[in-house]
Amino acid sequence: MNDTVRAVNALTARWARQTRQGTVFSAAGVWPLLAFLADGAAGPARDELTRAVGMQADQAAAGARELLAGLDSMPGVGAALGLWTDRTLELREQWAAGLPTDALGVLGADPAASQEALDAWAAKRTEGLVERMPVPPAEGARMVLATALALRTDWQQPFRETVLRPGSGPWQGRTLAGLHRSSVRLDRIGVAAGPDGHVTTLKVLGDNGLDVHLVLGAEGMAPGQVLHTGIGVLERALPVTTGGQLPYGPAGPGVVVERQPSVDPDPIRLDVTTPGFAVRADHDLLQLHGLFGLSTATDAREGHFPGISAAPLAVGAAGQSAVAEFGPRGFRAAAVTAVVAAPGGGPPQYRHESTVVRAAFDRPFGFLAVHRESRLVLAAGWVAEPTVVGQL
Amino acid sequence: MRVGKAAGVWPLLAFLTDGRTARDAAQGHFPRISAAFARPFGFLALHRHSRLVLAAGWVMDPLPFPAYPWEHDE
Repeated sequence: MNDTVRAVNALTARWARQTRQGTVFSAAGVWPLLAFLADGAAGPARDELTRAVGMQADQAAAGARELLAGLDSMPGVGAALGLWTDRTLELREQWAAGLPTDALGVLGADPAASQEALDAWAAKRTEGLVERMPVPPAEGARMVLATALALRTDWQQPFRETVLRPGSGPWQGRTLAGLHRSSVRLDRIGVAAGPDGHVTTLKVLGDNGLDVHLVLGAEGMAPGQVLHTGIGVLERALPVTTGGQLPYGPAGPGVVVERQPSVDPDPIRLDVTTPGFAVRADHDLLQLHGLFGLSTATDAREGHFPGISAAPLAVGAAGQSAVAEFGPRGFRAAAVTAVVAAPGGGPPQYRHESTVVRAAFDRPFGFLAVHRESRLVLAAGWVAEPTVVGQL
Repeated sequence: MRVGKAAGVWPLLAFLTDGRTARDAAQGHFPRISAAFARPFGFLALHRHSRLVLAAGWVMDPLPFPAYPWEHDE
C-alpha cells in the first residue's frame, strides 16, 4: 500500500500546485481511473498515463485495486467503482475481470435515461453530497468508468461556535462562522519552512482515524504553494517546529505565542480560531490533460486502449465533482470522478508525426517522473511554472 | 522534529524545561499559543495511519455567521 499511497499523494501534490481559487479535489478519486486506463493503454497514451499515476502500467491495475480496497476498509470512508458500457462494446475479459466494480451497467440508446441511472449511483455512493455525474454520458459514448469517494469524521474535540471578524486581509469586515477551541495538545500546531515560504499547519483529529490539516501560508504565497508545502509537511519531507518549541511573539503565519498572567499554574494552551467552510467544485480534468496523462488519449483520430477493447477507444471527457464541509462537530467530503470513452477512429499509429508533436506538449511530465522517485522530489517539482499547463 | 508515541508530551516537556519558560512560570506568567485562520487557507483530509490524502482544497469563501448547511440535515 505504501507505494500506492506515495503515488497518489504525488498526484495530489501536483494537482495542488495548480490551485488558484477556492476549490476541493480528490486525487484519490482520479488515480484508480488513470491506473485502469494505463493498464489497458498502448503507445504514447500508455507512457503518459504511466507517468501520471507514477507507477508502471503493468502494476497500475493492481495498485488501483489495492487502493479501492484500502479506501473501503478505512472507517468513515466509502469508495466504489462503476462501469457502464454501450451494448455493442466488447471489453477484453482480462481487463474487465480486474475491475472491482460496485456497479456494472449498460448505456442505453437514450442518453437522458443513462444519465439518470449514473446520477443516482453518484448520489447513493456519496450519501447525497454529489448528486450528479461530473460529465454526462454524451450520445455516442461507448464507456463510462467512474469512482465515488465519501468520507466523514467527527472531531475528537469539537469546536465552540463563535463570531470571527478578521481585522485584516481579504476577509476584513466580514462576519464569519468562527470555530474556536482551546487545548493542551501543543503538537497539533506546527510551523514549517518550505522553499516557497513559511506555513502553519493545524492538525484537527477525527475520532475514526481521519484527520484534517489546515494550512495557512505566509502572506504573498500563492494557494498552490501553500497547499504543496502542506503536503510536504504531512509527508515529513519538511522540518517542522511544533507548538512547544515556538518562540515568543509572531511565531508563524497566523500564530502568536504570548505570556499571560495567571493566578493558577495553568498548563500551556493552544487556542485555535478558524471559520467553518463548505466548498464545492467541478473540474474538467482535460483542462489539465498534461497533469493527468490524458493528452494523447484524447486524440480521437485513433484508438489508444487495445487492452480494454478491440474497438478503438479514446477519452472523450473526464471530470470530477467534489464537496467538502468543515463544521464545529466534524468534517465530511465526497468526490465523484468519471472518464467517458468515445470512439477512437482507426487502429493506433504510434509513430504518426502528429503524435510526436503532441508528446512535446507534455513537458511537465519531465519533472513529474522525477517527482515519484523519493520524497525530496516535491522540491524538484517546484521549478515548474504552474502556468505551463494553462498555456497549452 | 521527532514524531512518535511521545509526540504529545515531548514539546510540552521541552517548553517546561526551557529556562525562560520556567522563570515566567515562577512569576505567574504562562505562555499561550494562539492560531487564527483569518485569511484564505488550504486543507488536507487524510487517513492518519497511511497518510493517504483523501481530499484537498482551498478556502476562499468561508461560511458567514451563523449558518451551517448541515444544520437542516439532522
